[in-house]
Parts: sequence; structure tokens; C-alpha cells
Amino acid sequence: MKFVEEFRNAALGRAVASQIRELADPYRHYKIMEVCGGHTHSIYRYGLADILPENIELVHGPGCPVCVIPMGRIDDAIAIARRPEVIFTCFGDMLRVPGGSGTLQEAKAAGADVRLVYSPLDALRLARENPDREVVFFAVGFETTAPSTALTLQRARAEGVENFFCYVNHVLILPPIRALLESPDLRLDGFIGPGHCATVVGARPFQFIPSEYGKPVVISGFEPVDILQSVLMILRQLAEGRCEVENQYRRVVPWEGNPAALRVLAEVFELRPHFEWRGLGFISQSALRLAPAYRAFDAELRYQVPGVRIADPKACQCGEVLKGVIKPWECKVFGTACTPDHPIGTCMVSSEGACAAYYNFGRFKRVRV
Amino acid sequence: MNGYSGLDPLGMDVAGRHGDASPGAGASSPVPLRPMEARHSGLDPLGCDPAGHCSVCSDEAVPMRVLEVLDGGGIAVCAGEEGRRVEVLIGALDDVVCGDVVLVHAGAALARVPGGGVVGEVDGSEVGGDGRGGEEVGG
Repeated sequence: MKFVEEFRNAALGRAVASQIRELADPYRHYKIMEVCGGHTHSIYRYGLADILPENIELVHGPGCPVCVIPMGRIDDAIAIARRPEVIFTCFGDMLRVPGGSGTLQEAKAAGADVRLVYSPLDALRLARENPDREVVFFAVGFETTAPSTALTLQRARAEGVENFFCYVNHVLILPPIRALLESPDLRLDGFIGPGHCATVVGARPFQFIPSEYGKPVVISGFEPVDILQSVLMILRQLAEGRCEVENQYRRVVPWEGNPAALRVLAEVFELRPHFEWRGLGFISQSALRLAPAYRAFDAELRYQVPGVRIADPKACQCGEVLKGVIKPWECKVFGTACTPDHPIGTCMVSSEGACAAYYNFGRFKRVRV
Repeated sequence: MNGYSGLDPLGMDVAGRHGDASPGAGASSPVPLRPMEARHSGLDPLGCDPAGHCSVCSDEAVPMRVLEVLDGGGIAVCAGEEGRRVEVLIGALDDVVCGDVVLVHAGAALARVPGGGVVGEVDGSEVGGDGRGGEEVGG
């Protein structure tokens, strides 16, 4: 398919890697954070880290929406799912995320009616087909996924559907980046920006990163040549003394984003005053909840939930991994007590989580193979 | 110079030299980058796809062609590369018509894909430039 095959071309990938090697200062260690979990997955799926010079380190950021959901929110989801009148719907990876009282998958095994859906529209369809039940959709994801939830809620409202609710955990991409940049234990040289998130919000909102923190940003596509080209563009900025937002993925990402999608988000959602991020703590105005006009669909208002804050397991170092302070293999339980089949931390649950990406693609050792 | 203008992978030859190759020449190699096999490859039958890859967690968006616009413009029947038909929310795009290729994430179309999204001649101008383009796509 056009715009896909070209960006998986091996010769192009090698050529871009060659340019990166020529441009990289051998006496400098570069740390570049890819914000999006999709980039993390592509980097390890295609072995991109191995064709980069040793002194270019890719750091994996907090861009996997599963990985940043705190345990207490999972327990709240399980409490809703256990209600006999509820059909609880969610995306696949949320089923295995451990809370303090197990996972949604375990709740399902114990009798809760938990069902996998591919979009919130599937959940709304379930609500129409089951008028005697209450269908709850576990809404997770960044600005990329939030429009789907918002459009579905607009339809539910227009159709007068009264048995459809959303447990909203949508988060925003820019506040955690700012939190990371404020972190004293983090040193980064630049960011590979999230391509599909920027399809909605645009490239422009990332300008605070170069203007306030002096770090280059390149909004990137997800194919291997996209990512390599983005690394090269960051290196070019550093070599030329520039610091700005560039848009490598301009075949899809408009500078100003998608105004229609932003209008829908503004109608259906409002900012939460604060939200807890796994590993990062509470971040102000970093998540969404339903606007007053849509409160009738809010599962958090409809049902009593424990609402308890649960500390992460002591052995788990997801927080340091999410901040890029340590690599997944440096976590004490990586690959031993914590594996994709039995995850302790959320970074091992989703295949887009940094730990799962390392584990799945055989990266157990510090040394390169 | 404000923005990136150096590399155009679609107009690059295999040695990485830029500018002396015709558009698309760099993409002439038939050898694709091959994804590695995952060690834990979707053992969980409830994963989003058989490869254990979650399109939501990865922020993945896939190009799909609009076959039919339904319901006053709020929903369209779309088909992906493999031909499977699904209903897609199109309320975040203006004036979607049959034949458009849209980028779909979690059941919602987020942007139009320029050029039809089919296998064909590659336009090298789609990559590079001043890094501030792309206004022709999206909502």
C-alpha cells in the first residue's frame, strides 16, 4: 500500500542508518525518547536499535495508555464489571492489567460479563441489543482514541440510549511530557513525537518542548524508515544548533491537527483537575472526564466504586522505566517474576509496553547481539 | 532555514546520496524490512489481534477506503487492505465521500490519506519539505 511499503524498504532503512552514523558525533552520547508505545513496538519489532550507532540510545516514554493506568483504576473497573446488571466492555490489553484485586480477565473467569470490543461503537451496539442490561465501556487511550469515544457518546445521546455508560480514563500526551522534562533525574537530547496523536492535536502544541526546554521534537510515522528518518532529523537539528518541532509524518499530520476532532472532544469532555499516572504520580489537567452535558453516561457517577489509591508492587520499577531512567532489563523482576504471561507491572502487559517489547523480541541482555 | 529539508528517502539511492535519483528510485528495492517474530506472540486469545498487538495501545491507525456513507454522514462502511468491511465513525472529518481513503483508529476516522492509499508511483514530495506541510490532509 502506498505510504507503507516505501517506509519498510530495507535499502532505504540502511541508507538512512548510514547517514545517521555519518552525522552522529562519536564523542557524544545521545538519548532520544520515543513518546509513543507504537514507536517502541516498531523499534523492537524491526530491530532498529541494532542498526543505530552504539552512542544513540532510544529511551521509551510513557506513551502506552495501558502502561500508565494506576492499579486503583483497574480495581474500580473490576468493581463495575462484577455488578450483575453490567456488561463490561474493553479493549484487549486492558483485560490483563493487574489491579490490587486481580485482573478483568480473572473477574471474567469468576463470572463477570466482560467482553472484548474493537471500538466503543461495538459497545454501543451491545447496549442496543441488550436493553435489559447496562453496558459499560472502559475508555482508555490518548487524544488518538478519545474521538472514537466522543463520537460514540454523541450517537448514544442522539439516539436516546439510556443503558450505555463510559468509564473514562482518557489521558493527554502533553502534560506527562512536561512532567518528564521537569524531572531532575532525566537527561534527554530530543523527542520522537507521537504521529497519530498529532493527527488529532497537530504538531503545533509540541512547540513548548523546544521553546521552553530546548529539546528538538520530530513528529514521526510508525514504519521503520519513518523512525530512522526522525532520528536523523533530530541529529541534524542538534548538529546545526537548531531546536524546533519538525513534522516527518506530514503525509498524515497537519500542523494544526484535526479541528473537527478537536471540536468533538471539546463538546463531550472536559479536563480533570488532576489524574494519577502510574510511575509518574498525579499530573494536573492530564486527563479527561465527561462534560456536564454527558454526565448521564458517566459510569463513575452511576456506580459506587472503591476509588482507592493502590501503591505499585515494591519490586516493580515501571515508574523508572516509563521515565526512561532505567532500561527494562535493569528492573529487578524483569523476565523472572514479571513476564508477559504473568505481568507484575503494566509495562509488561501491553505489547506496546517497553518491558513487553524487550521481552517479546529477545532483548534480555545489555550487550548487543 | 526553518525546518527539515535534507533527506527524502523516496528520492534517495541505496547509498543514501540525495538529489540525483528520480522520485521513487530509492524505493525500487523489493527487499522490505522484515519484522522480527515475537517470542510471546499472542498467546492470549483475547489480545486485539493474533500477533498480540493492540491497535489502541500502539496508537495504530490503518488506512481504509470508504465504500458507503450511512446515516446522514456519521458512519461509513469502509474496507481495509484485506477487504474486511467495518462500520467507521466519520464525524471527525468533514465531507467524507465514497472512494476517500481515511486513517482509522479504534473505529473512528481521524484523517484523510492523500493519494488514494493504493500501490502506485511514489511522490517524493510527500516527505521532507519544510516540515510544516500536510495541510492538505486531515479534517
